[in-house]
Amino acid sequence: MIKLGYKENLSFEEARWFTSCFLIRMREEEEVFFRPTCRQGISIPSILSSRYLRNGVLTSGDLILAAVITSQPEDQAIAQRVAREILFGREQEEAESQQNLLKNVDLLKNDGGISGGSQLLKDWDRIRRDEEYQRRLRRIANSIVLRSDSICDYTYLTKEDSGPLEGEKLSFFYWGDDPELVDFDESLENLIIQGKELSWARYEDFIIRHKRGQRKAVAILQDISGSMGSALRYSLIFGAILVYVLQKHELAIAFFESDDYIVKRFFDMMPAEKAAAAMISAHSMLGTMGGHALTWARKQLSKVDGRYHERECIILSDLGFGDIEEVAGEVKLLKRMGIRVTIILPPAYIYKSALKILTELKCSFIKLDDGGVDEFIGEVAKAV
Amino acid sequence: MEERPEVRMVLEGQYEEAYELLEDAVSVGLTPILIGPPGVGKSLLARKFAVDTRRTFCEVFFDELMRPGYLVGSFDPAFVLQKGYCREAFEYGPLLRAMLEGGILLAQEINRASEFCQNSLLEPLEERSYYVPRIGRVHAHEEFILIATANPAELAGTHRISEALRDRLRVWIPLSYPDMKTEMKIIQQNCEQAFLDERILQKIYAVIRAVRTDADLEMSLSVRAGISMAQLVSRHVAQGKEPSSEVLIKYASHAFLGSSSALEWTDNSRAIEEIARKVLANFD
Repeated sequence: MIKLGYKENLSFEEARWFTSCFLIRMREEEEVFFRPTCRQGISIPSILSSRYLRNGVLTSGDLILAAVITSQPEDQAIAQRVAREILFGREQEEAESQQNLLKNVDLLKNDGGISGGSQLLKDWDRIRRDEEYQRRLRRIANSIVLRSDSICDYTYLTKEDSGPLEGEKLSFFYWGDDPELVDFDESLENLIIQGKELSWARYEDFIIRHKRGQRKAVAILQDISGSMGSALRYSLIFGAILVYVLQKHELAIAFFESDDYIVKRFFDMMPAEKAAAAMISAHSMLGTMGGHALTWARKQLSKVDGRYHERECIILSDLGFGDIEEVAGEVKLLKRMGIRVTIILPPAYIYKSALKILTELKCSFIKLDDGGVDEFIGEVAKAV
Repeated sequence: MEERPEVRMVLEGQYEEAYELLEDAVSVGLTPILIGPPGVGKSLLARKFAVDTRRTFCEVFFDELMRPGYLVGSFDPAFVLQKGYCREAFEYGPLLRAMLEGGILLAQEINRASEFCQNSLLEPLEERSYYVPRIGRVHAHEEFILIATANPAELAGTHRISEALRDRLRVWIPLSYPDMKTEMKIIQQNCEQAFLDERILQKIYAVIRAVRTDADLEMSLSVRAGISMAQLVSRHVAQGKEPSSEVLIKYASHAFLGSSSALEWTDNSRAIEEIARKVLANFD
């Protein structure tokens, strides 16, 4: 490959060649999150022309800068490496990275090396970016959302006798609302009560009728007790999928065995990737005690305000609870608060007595050996 | 849209480079986005740039509840009832105003916007026009530009920037915590109560840096938090009192506590004091 090397005065022809090489090389890189688009291809020469007008020359540094700042932040480190490789050749870059690697060996030794969990996460990431898996994941995600998206709350705003409106709510007109949504009966009554003429009316004097928001607050509790056995892997993968399915909703996540391990509280800032990685890298531990975890979930869910139209607690467990009485008590409290409780059962031995108690308490169940879901999870599990 | 007074800022180190990149991007019509942790000066830099261009600009802080209507504009319902849907009944929002006047729209915390709201920016950025139902297509003035700011993904809110919008935000300018020289200048510039000598500034910076890099504390201490500590010290000095180590420790604890989550306040307060005490012992 031609190398430009470090130059203080590059021509536009060389810059164009660099741009083209950079785009091709970045698209070939496996670890790139966002493949360069044509827009990036147009942006690099644009930025370079601007740099040229500012400094009167184009240097290798400008080329690297343009390549990096037009790449997405997640890919900027790779963009820098690729740009340097194009300019200075791969050998030099490899020599430098080898030196860095040697420097890092001691650090790795101190950390106990790369664990099996890291490999699992790497494989999971590859699966997650595979288009076919993504398509099937979306399909399953849709079916889960359809199954769980059931309730629309009731509300009424102005008149006590207007009663609850199923699936709709009334609210004051807000800047940007569509006047087509104005409920004229309610609005005129509101204006008459205030004794206002139409010309004096302000935005908030009008009342609109619209569908309730669709965001939910969901607490996910993952059983990591020893009784889950080999089914834990399936359960964890499904848990990670759930995180992606529900990522636009507000999530709280905790693991439980005899103790609780909180991964994320409501309103903690955590990207879905990190939450899913935490799910997938969990290990099985001791006995199953769900009472504390459910108390934690109840407290979390009780803090959620009215912006979240539905509250749900999802438990991924084989129900081998050593404290089923506490669990049943907590489930009753959750139900009394209007919180849906869904239990996702792994393909393993399910404790029948606990199942009976929780069925009587009207929990919803999703079995991982239901058609379609088990096949998908099985394939993902095999692949990772 | 309003004219703003001049923005004072230390334009050195990473800020100088970022400012130049903003100029470069805007001059060739590419949409820039400043990305970095909270409190490193993204908004200030964007505001300074906008003011320096002497173009009108407006600033919008995104959050998950913001709807496209807020950006685009709204029909006045009373006007609509009287005269029907007409141009006079429509009040333009900040996006359309910036488009029509060739101004700058500062889209702050853009990654906190819902996808619904993010999508309303695609057409103005790509087609440089926006279709408003019942009004028609509004075309952007050739000087219209959007400048965005965002926190890195790990500190982001509930939404992430959609791929479609990502592709239209063309120049990603990272900002992180400034180097020692720049941060000390920033602190000095913001302490008008009393002049803080070099040694006190060094002590303050050493405490900030130690807390910021402490692995156990996991606090992303902003430049703003450092300024707050220095301002408290500056006020103390202005009253003719000695800024002893104990005073610095007390102010560090009060100024930095806001960077930790409420649940960890008690523990973090003690930890900050311990770190500050250890750092300041080296100076004495």
